[in-house]
Amino acid sequence: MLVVVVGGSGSGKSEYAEQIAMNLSENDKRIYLATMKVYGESAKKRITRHVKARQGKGFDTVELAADIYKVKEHVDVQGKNDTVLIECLSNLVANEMFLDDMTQKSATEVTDKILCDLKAVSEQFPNVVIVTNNVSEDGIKYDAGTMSYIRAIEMINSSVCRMADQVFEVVAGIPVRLK
Amino acid sequence: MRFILGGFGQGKLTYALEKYCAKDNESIKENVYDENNFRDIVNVCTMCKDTIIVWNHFNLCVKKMIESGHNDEYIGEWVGKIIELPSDIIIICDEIGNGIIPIDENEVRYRELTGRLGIMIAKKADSVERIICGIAQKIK
Repeated sequence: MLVVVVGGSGSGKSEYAEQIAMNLSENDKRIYLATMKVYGESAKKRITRHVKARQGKGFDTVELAADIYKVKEHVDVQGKNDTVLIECLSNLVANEMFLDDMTQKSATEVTDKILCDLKAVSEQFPNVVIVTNNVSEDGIKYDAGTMSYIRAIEMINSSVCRMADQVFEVVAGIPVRLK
Repeated sequence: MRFILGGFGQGKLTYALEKYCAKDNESIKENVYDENNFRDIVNVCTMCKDTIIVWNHFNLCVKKMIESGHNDEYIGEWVGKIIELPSDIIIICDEIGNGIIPIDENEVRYRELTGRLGIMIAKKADSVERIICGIAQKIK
């Protein structure tokens, strides 16, 4: 089962995705694959809030800022309901795309790489839940690098949602089923 | 209590007034509060229990409270108090979280907090509607 959860900042998408992952995994493994690199105070605060929200829900955390196919090196998948929750695609794209201050990979290259990695993960885990963001509706024309980043996220979102069994958009904590 | 949200300029206030407030009642416009006078809402809700109160531009009110130096907890409690009042209130909020995360920490805080408060309001609300091109999608 592949489930995609999309939403904006502070929409409650993470909490809903956790709920889905808990239901899918039943008594088997729950892996939380965190893709965020910690930069600055607000990132720290957000991570603290997420960690707190996950407490007691039985997730094992694996931190991979890139190359998420490597999750198999950290987890021994055995159960028929083993579930990985990937949080979130927008961080993953940033990490895969912006290698350092000077180098940026193209949107197509990053899209191909991440879709390939996601395929590897979904072949390994019976259940995959992916959290992603809506980053394309603020109407601002950013610099070329940022526009390419938005393009990559939306290409990946579209491809992943095409493969997904279920897609939800979370609005003010309310899941709206899109697929 | 009703919660209406959607992108900027989608016709949220027009929808609220047409749908929930009597059209011939011009006085309802006096009961529309926004970032310029929202601090009066507590009093108005307490005094006029039978009047429909429209709280427009909820997100800009959050922004104003942040700029006044209030912390997230204070703002959350203040909004929490209003939605607990037994009054007929319609809260209208712009969807501001669907974009690139800003660099400025205060902008990040504004987006996050508006989102979090939206979840709190939606939980308590009798109905939640999203307005797109003036059309309402009822999600609760």
